[in-house]
Amino acid sequence: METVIRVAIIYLIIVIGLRVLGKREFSQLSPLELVSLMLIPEIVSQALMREDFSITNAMIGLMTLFILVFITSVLMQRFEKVEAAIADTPSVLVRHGEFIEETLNKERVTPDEVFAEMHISGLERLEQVKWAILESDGKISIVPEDLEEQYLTGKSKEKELSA
Amino acid sequence: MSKEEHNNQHPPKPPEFIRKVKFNLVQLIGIPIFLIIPVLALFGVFGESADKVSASSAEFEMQVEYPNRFRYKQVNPVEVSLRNTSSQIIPALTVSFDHFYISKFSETQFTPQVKEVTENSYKVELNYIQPGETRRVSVSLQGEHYGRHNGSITAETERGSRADVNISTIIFP
Repeated sequence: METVIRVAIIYLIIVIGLRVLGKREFSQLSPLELVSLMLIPEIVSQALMREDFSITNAMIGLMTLFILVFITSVLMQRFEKVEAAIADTPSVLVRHGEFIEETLNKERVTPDEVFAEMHISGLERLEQVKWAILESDGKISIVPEDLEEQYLTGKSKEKELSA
Repeated sequence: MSKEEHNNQHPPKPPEFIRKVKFNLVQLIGIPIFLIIPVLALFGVFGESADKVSASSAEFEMQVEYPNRFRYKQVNPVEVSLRNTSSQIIPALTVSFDHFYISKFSETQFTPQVKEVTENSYKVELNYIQPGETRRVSVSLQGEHYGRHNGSITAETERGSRADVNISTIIFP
């Protein structure tokens, strides 16, 4: 019985902790982030399993974790507010070629990181970016200005052709 | 803020959809199975549990408190309390623990020390038990072999007064 409660408590602490740390901790890890994520299991393992190294205890712990993860995912799917509370919402880092400094600072993203993602998308200047979005999973998505124009142009041509 | 202005300030949001909880067949089968184990654990099915049994003879009363369920590598004691219910001193009382039962555990420690180990039992001797006096014998056991283990504890005086109890312990893997 204690194991179920312990796993549930630790699970909640980790979910809240990762939620507080922010989206960046889920993305490619910096050395600092990697160290913190590696240390979490080391710190909590004793609290979770105590001195009980039996398979029974491990199985109870594992099944409790699986059920908690499953329930969380079902609640996130069913309720938008739960999804927003747990998974966080995307943050806009660049709007029409301009950095939103407040968001960059809040999310601890540097312009270099945004530029690195721009380069991956084949862009070299900030003006070419319509949106740079820090997604819930910590990745930065780039939406180029040109692409949308091309898309709109394409759409209008499609309409012309169909008319 | 108009929709156009909003779209200029924020990227377009994904369209709304009706959120429903749906499970596939694997989840329908697997999740209840996963759920059973923590639920049973919450009700203490896989936890430690102890039981008490007692027996008496013309000269003494024996009460045994033993673990009837515990897990691999956990340590639990078997406590035997013996009370002289007669009006005479019991010069020697031998408490025997089933050898087969004890062999299913590791790190066994007897208090007081074992006087004799035979093929069938571990024997602890208590001397000069005064009328009304209670003595204890304790055996610390560490779960080693999985499964249910049955055994018996017998106490016997020199005069042949005897009491015995059967005990059973499950060790979870």
